[in-house]
Amino acid sequence: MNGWMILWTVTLVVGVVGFIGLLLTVSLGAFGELRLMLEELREDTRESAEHPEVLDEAT
Amino acid sequence: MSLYDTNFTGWDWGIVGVYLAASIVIGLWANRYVGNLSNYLLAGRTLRIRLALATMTGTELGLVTVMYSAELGYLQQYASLYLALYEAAFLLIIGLSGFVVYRLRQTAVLTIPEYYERRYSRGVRVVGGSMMVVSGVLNMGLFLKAGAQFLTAISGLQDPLYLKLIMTGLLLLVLFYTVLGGMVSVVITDLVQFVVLGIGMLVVTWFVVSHIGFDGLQDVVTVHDGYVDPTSAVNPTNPNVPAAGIGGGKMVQMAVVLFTALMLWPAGASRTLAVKSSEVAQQLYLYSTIPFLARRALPVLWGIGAFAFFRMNPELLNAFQNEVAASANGGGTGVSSLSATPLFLAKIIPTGILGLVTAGMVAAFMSTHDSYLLCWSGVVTQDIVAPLFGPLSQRQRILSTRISIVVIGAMLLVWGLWYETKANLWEYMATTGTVYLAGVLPVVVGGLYWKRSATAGAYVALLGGVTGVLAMGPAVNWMNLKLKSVQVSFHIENWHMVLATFAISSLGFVVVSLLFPQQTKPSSHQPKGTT
Repeated sequence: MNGWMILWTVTLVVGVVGFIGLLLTVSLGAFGELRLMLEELREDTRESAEHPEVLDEAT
Repeated sequence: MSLYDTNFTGWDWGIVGVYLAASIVIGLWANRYVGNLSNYLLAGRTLRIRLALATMTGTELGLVTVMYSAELGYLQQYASLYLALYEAAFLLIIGLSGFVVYRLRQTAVLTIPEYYERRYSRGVRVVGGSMMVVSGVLNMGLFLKAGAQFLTAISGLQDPLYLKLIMTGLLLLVLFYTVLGGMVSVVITDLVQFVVLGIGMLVVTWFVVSHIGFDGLQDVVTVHDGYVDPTSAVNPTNPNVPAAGIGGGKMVQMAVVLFTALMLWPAGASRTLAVKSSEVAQQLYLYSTIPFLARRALPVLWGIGAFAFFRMNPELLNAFQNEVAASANGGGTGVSSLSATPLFLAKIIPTGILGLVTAGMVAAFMSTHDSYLLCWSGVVTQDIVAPLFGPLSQRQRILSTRISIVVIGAMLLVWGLWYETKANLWEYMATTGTVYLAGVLPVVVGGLYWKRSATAGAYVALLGGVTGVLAMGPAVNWMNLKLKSVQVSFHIENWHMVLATFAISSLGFVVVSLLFPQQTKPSSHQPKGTT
């Protein structure tokens, strides 16, 4: 196996193993973060609904 | 076994259908969280690191990425992996240094052209926004076709009419939930798509390696004389076609294009601008190293598997090459080198699992389209319509963005239906992207790091990017014919023109900024016409 093939094999292995790790890490935490995001957006949307005139202010 | 044999059945269509229906429900549901313009365009800037990573990956790991990477794997085998290494290395550099992304997030702008107005002038914003949209829509032009080619190849549909119907159907679906829920629905669907696509990619990789085997993957080099060394400009599987090779010049071109695109491609930059802080923006790039490596490396591996599979089955290889030739001459079923990998996967992945994998790929298709449509439409509203016809209320801006999404969608459909590219898909995308990237690089980097950056220089740099259209196939062919007619032996390649475009924009920016310095200090206040 020449140098290029060693490099490409390492690239493929790191890509696959790293992607498995990332998929697990992100999937486990991202749904909690989504819940927090939606809570913040709900609050923001409620404020916008209470002051609809802001949405019609031209800027 | 025939070329169009597939394990895709009614069960698999059912699985894909359920997934598509779920996306519509998410779009409808997300609409309730759109209270103002910031919610619609940037999900209220509420993204934390894991969610940002999921949506960044969902956006940048699109079906089009899978298709062009797999195509490169099929055409250039292992040598094409240099692009995966480039991306990982560049993201690591940006993530560790915070170069550009940290300072850009600090400005708290909604879009890159908004930064142009803050640093230079309103005119630069309008010109820069227009260049961005033209380049972006051209760049997206073949996404639909690539997605439809995947679906037709994997499901065994041979009538070219299906290609058009599938393109239209997929586009309408994405338009529906993006128009309704904006960035909120994009983030939610991106997360679901990240999980579905991620699992799908690993499953496909497993089946490819199981079917071909490590020996088969090794045979690509030892038996079939596959392409391994990207610094060599000659592709051993296609030695008589110069464009089939890579070589040093093309590697330099790709380094410049990729480094710029990773920092400043608008869809990615919109994630930088949507995160909670500059620190999260920098982290996002650092942690994106792995998914960006994987988004190239895994599909390339599938393409290499397809190369090995067709070499192991010479009768299928003949049938495939005949179909590609017929399609290139206007006949056939629309098959191209893009179809090699899906045709291969359709034969090795079992029924049921093939439906899940296809749902993952459809997820990849949608997660890129929704973000890109929202991104370009946001730029149309914020950076072209509002500065020219404003002031506009938030309600008017949301309406303008929604109309732009539909108009751009219609343009994509028309472009995707009639434009045929002779280059491979990745080269088409790198070339069209250059129109925008060559200008944005000096204008943003100079604006952030060089005090003498001036408005006149910014105009020259942005307009210099137009030179990038000369890198497209028909223009390069025309110039070569002209050179030949005047007996000049030099042969222009696409990458010459791409690098020339970057050089023209950057040099033009520096020289003109020095010749025509900024008369007034750049404004630091919130510019008119922005929110």
